[in-house]
Amino acid sequence: MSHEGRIELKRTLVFVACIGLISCSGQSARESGETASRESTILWQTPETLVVAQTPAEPLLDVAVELLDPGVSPEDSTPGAAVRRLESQLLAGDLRQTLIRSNQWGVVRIVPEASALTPVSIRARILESNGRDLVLDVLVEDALGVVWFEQTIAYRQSLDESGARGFQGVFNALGNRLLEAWQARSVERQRALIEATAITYAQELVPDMFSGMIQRSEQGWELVRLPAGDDPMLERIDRVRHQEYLFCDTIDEQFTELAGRVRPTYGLWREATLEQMEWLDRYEQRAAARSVKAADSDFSRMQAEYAAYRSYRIQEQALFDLAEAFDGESQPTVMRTQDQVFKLEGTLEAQYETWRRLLRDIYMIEQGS
Amino acid sequence: MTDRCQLITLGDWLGYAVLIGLLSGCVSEPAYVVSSDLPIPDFAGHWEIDYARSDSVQTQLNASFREVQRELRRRREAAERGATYQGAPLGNLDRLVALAKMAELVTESELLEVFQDRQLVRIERENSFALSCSLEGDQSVPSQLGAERCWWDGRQLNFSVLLPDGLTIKHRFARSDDGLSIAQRTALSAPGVSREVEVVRIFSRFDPAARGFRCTQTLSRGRVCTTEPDES
Repeated sequence: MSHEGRIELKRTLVFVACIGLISCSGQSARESGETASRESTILWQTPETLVVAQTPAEPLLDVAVELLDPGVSPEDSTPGAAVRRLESQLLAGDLRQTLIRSNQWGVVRIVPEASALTPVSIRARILESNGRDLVLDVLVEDALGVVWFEQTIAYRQSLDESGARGFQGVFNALGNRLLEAWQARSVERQRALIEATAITYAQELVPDMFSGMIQRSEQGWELVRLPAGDDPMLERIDRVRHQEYLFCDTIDEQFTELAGRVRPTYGLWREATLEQMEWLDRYEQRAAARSVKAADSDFSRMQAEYAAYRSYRIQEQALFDLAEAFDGESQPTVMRTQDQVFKLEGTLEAQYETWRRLLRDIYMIEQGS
Repeated sequence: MTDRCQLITLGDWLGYAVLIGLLSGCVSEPAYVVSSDLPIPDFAGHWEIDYARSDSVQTQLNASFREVQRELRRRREAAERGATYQGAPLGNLDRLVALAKMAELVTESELLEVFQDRQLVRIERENSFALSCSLEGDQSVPSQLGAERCWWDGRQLNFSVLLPDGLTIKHRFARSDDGLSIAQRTALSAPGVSREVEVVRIFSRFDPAARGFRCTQTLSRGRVCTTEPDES
């Protein structure tokens, strides 16, 4: 082997070793395997324009966007997990805004968990989110338990893209898929779903009174009969439902406030991460084409690597600080009924569950049961 | 020029074998990490560089070159005697200079602010990223752009940053017994360079409130200073 050849081999070995060390440190072999396997099967979404209506078509469908599943354990106290939990709220807010902007829907609410409150709900789990790539497992299901669609949506940003940065492509695609699924149903079926959802909600409160109105089978469901329009029980159920809407609106205000405080830093981190990842790609391409790499001086190469790492860490730490400050911090929610004020504390899911239990109790008291 | 180039020695190959061995068993921890149960002293506070007691990178580089010159002389004398020279390889001198310049860059922070509690030490460095370490065992922060490790060895707080092309930056922080100064030893090494470049910076404790102004690093505007007193 020539002298130059040995030096090149030496460089290559070190580079391969370092990249390998970096990629595997802190990760289990299983995680790496899963990521690699996911990478190979991912179908990246091409940018899609959101279908926007001039006026929404009747009947109006209310949509619930569940808080995204961050895909990390609740016990995980690492900064990365804190960022994921923060993202799960911010991305749910982005999806909600996209659906509102499309002007195709009735009320779009963020909810801690899906229920019969809303005819259809979108549930998503974050599989990957790193500033450049966003991969979500999405399940759209209606209140009758029918799955509309279930798919993995993946989107990779590029610095070459003109226009707005961010993962808007994912949410546009999701909004458009939801619209296709809704429009595939006849208007009669659409109306039936909305009515059946109201009955399902009532059934959850007073199962005996509203049983037998929806017939379910393996083929799906059918609305057999509707409750009388002047049923006083329906009026009370409506009141309970509106109180639940009130909770959703209150937490929505909390999200808006949270997003306003953290979004600038989150945006900077995402941009910086995207830039660093593209830099790394280019670096690896240069390393593969040795003649180009050889043109770099030792110092400029070291300096570029260090500058990239330093910049990445500075942005990351700023976001970590912010995410950790917000992590696990759910503001107490103050809710008012006609004659009482309730202060709900704990996680949002716990607050929501408490509120729903309280509403059922109030309903039962009103019923005299 | 021949002297400036290096040949791959048996020692180099053994080093690569160890490195590749580490890679093949990604789960195993490097052996150099030794955490200690000895309590960590209090590093918390504001620290500013004491140039009088700190190394200059140029001085370190001069010392390295003097060592290289001595080594070259020994080789030449051995060759003149017809003897086989047994010394360590000289390494790539261009890379040594690059390392020295990097050492200057990496140690340019003049101010440190250290936050410390029972679980964590976080060293915020002016114009750079913070070095943060959980005190519950050694830990690593992997990313696609580099890997970071840290541990407390009973005497010093160690941080090691490994970058993709093999550049390794090790910082070791030790506090003086009187608690008035911190020694930051920064060692840089890279493949193809036979010696580390080490720079020692000494930081002295100071009270920022006594200066009449205070500065903070912001994301949008960089370093921002104000003469207004800190409300907190």
